[in-house]
Amino acid sequence: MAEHEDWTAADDAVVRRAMATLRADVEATPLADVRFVKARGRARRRQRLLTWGAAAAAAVVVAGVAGYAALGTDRTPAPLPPQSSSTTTATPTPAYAALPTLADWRSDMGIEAKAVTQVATPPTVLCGVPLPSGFVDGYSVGSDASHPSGFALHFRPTGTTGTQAAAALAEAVEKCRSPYTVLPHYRDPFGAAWVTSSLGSGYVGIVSTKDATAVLLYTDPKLKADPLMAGFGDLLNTAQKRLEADGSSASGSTLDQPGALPLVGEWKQTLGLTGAVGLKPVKPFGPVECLSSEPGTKVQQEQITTDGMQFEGGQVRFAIGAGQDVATAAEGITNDIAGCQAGPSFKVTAVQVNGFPKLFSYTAGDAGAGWFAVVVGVSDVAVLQVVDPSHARSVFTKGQVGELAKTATGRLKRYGTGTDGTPTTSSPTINGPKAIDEKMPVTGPGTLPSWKLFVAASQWRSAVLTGGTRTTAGPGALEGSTAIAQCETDKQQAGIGGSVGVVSVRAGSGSAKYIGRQRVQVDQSTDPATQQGYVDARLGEAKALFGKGCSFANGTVKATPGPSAGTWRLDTVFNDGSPTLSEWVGVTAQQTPGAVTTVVISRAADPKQGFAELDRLLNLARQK
Amino acid sequence: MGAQSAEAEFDAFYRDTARRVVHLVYGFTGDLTVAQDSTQEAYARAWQQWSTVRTADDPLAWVRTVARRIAISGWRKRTTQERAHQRHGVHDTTGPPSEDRVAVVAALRTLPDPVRQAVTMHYIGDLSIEQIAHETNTPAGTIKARLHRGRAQLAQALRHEETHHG
Repeated sequence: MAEHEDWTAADDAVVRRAMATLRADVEATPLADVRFVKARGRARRRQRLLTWGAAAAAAVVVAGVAGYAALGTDRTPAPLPPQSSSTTTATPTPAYAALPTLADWRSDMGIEAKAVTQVATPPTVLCGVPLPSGFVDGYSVGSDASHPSGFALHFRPTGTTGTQAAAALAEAVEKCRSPYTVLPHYRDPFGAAWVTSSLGSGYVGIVSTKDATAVLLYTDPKLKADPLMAGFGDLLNTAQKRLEADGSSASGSTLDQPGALPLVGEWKQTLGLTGAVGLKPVKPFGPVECLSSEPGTKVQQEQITTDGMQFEGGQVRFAIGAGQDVATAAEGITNDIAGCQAGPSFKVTAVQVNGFPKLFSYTAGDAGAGWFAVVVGVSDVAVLQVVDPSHARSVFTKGQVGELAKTATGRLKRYGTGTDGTPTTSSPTINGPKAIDEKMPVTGPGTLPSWKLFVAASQWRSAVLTGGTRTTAGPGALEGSTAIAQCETDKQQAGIGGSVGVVSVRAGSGSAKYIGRQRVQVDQSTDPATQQGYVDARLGEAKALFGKGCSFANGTVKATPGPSAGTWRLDTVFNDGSPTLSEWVGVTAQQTPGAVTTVVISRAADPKQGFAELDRLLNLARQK
Repeated sequence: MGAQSAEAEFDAFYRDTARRVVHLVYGFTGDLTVAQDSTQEAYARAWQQWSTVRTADDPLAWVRTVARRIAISGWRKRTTQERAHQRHGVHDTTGPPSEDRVAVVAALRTLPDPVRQAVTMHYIGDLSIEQIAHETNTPAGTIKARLHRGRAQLAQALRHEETHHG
């Protein structure tokens, strides 16, 4: 404690004065305009940098932690990293194509090593939990236990997905307590977690794709706490990209592989990209450069990145609803791009504008150059963007971009909306009759959504739902409340933002003739990502609320899921012997960005057709 | 939350807290340019995922930690940094160093990294020992010891500077 006694109040004053000097420097320096900071944040999205946001989003799976020594297998060598190897190579590639290279470990983690050491014996157990089958390869780097070291393992699991395997691994390592202490509550801002022990400190992360999983560990025996090694975040990002690139090359990249937009291998091949190329979905959806408005419903958005950031790419797909013309929607996008002014030096040149695909090149001064391609399918419009940030004029040619656009066209026509192919996203599916507009009274507590977003009351009419009786909209007994289904409450609904309105529908006249209700909730922002987030949140809430049923003072509500996603039958059983009441509830996103609807059928002439009628109404609602 | 309110909320958050983060990173690195850039990058990341960050227990702690790590690890490649600046037309806004600043920075640099971190977080970030312990995942006793040691060493170094330079 001697050092504590060295300190005096005078010292404290000296230190405070010194720090105030620094504060004066800070105060004298202009703070960056917040618009610039936000632009920088948006640019991070546009530039498709796989930094922490993407890493975190990708990795619910970025796990906590365990050393290889903590794998709990008797095959596990000690100390870290594993010494079970037999083969030494100058570089992890190409044998370790899905894992970071030796150069990555050197640059990101400062590990001084000239070679990696192969993990020759597949590890089988992690903390008592079996590791996935399908061990592909692995290596350690830095074999001297007195210096920083790392290791990496690559699995292509069989019988489960890479993501599921990663989740299981994450759960397993969270429980590890020896020889490393796992700190499950601690998550590095870059997406990893860290451990500490008498052996030193380090990071462990797990990354995954649909098909594969990789585990990375870094340890430094001299670090006892707080490693502050943000380079590990970069290493994880690199691992993610290499895992994705490896997956695409392993599985090939032909049109037979499903996907409504070009696959990563097709980007790589048509543009001649080298090195690790990654493709990741953008979730939630973000803005598309140059588009002042977006047609239809944005259903897919992806970003393409390469090592070294010498290339960036993006692709987005809009599903164009029934009754809307795809070509007209595409022309709108074309006009936006042709007139785009994304910066003072931004200049767009129309290169191919007759028919589709349409191609535009652009230059952006110091920000480089690039291309846009506008592609149409049966009921989709897609925009591809090639960003070449390092050249004043893009090194990519019209032929290359045209070939990519041609591939996109083929994919849209085979796998896009309105085709026989399997849609690659959860975009609203529109089948059956076309929705019509019908002006109806909408009730709600505040700003009301347009009546155009509601299924026309006359379209509720059907033989099985109303026995053919005419249906109309009218003020209901629940007027003023937006809780329209069992298990919903006004209090719960009051906590939900956006505009909300309800239309009540009756068969015939009279207050006792109501057969159902529709509620529409709309996010009032204009930001597509925010709108998508709002819709996703409502859909998630519905699943949680209706999926498990509920109880109340005089009974319980039993939930039975319907044959379609987002539909349930709610059977209310009363304790006092009153007859059980059934209603059919469905929730779906609508064509209007940020709109989500709930349809409740409270009375059906033929209850056996309740779910079928619900599906019919939901299909009409989706078109709105 | 609508986009407008999110924007306004972030703007206010940035306006109210950014200088404190610059100051903290400046104290830790001794480089005002690095501090500014790391802080901007941290806030840019916060904006990139504001819907998540805003719900954190302490969004400022999130930004502070990210900024500190960015500055310390030097993870950003210089080429990326330069390109980002070029894209947005940003230039170095720092003036020449004052004598006082040189002395303080020199004194701070005499401290080991963990000690300097504790000192700057306490004196500049106005964080309590418990908060520093939480953010750095270090026992509170260790932080306390680092603070005491750092304070004494720093004062000694500063007094030495004053003696030599008047």
